[in-house]
Amino acid sequence: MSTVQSDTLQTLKEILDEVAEIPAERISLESSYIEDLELDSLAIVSVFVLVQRRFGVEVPNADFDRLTSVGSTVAYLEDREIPA
Amino acid sequence: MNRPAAEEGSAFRGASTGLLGLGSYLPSRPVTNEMICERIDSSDEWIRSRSGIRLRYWADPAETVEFMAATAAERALENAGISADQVDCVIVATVSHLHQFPSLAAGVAHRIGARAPGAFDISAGCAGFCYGLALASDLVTAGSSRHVLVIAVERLSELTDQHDKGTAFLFGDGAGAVVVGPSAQPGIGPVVWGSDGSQKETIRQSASWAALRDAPGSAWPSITMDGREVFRWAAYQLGPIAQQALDRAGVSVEDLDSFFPHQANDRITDQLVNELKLPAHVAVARSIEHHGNTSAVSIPLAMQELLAAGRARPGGLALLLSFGTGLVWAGQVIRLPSAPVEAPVPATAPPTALTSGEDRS
Repeated sequence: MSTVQSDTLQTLKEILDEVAEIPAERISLESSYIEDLELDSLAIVSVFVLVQRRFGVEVPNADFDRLTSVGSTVAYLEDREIPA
Repeated sequence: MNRPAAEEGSAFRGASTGLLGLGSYLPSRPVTNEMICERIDSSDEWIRSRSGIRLRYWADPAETVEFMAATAAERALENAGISADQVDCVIVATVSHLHQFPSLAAGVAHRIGARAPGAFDISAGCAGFCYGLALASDLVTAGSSRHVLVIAVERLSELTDQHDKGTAFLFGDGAGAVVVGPSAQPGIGPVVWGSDGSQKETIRQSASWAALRDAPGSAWPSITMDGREVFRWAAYQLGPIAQQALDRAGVSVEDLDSFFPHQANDRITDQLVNELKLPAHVAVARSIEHHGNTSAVSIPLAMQELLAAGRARPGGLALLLSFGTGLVWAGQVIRLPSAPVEAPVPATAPPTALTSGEDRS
């Protein structure tokens, strides 16, 4: 894992703690927002609002609807990789 | 920067106008989440976790927008110690007066016994109270008016699709009013307001009234809302708007006594409290729990509630922040009224007779 990736993951963990008080140790790249982290739709919106602010990127609705896990979000932020 | 207590709020830059009195009307029909869930596939737990709402009040047919607005206005006048004949302008903020004309304001002014004041309605949805307050303060500052009644009234229960899972639980009815007039000390800060018409579909009336004429059998128009998009917009935009309102008033969150965000959703409020880093001493309005989202009414209703409970301090500085259909938004720092108020109490029964000439809409 590159340094860049771990920074991205670290920031995402901080955001998840801030929005839903999820401890960092519960979060991995495989974690799905709904099934594993038990976020509801409004909490996911809150996560992406902070993602936009912290990373300075615009995440259109169409994109974040497909970013259903921590790993897909990290890949999106680092490589602009959009899941099919 | 620490300011001595005696100078609290001394940096506040506002007009020499103030909220002289406050009143409200809560209608007589309590509606619980269980009652809402008789018509939608939802649960008390789901509604509470998504919105914070446990209870709302809906108007009886006799609790018309004119009746509710006039009652709240009379209570605000009494609270201010101002008589109706001293009122020279009446502004009503509403989106649930089901007549295109005449304005509700003219009828309310007549009903309370005001003497031919200027009277008009404004359409700014849930931001209507803050819009009206800004207009009133500027009218008084300019010398155009001396005492302006700003009334917010909504009866959204009849514009709600009671089978729409996204909105059936959300709205409550009621009215709130303030008297705005001259003040020896700054009482109303500059408004920060705006609109984004690219979001005009986000909260909208499902069809125009013309659809009822052009397509017989059309459904009665109701509120259609993309709740997630509204939440996203609010979560992203409101924090910076609140900060601008503070900056323009020359105050920081430390100077605030209380915070009155439009009661749209408790989770938006949570997010704002975090984002603005409000200190623990700032009282935060949470009246959505037992009033629902009362649109433009929510801020005056919440002000009365927190003042009556002793949680907000008369004369303290408060940040008001609202947004609604348009999308439009408005926020300002104000000094809370100092006249003691009683807690808003729902009416025990609707009025027994309609005033002559009044219909039920």
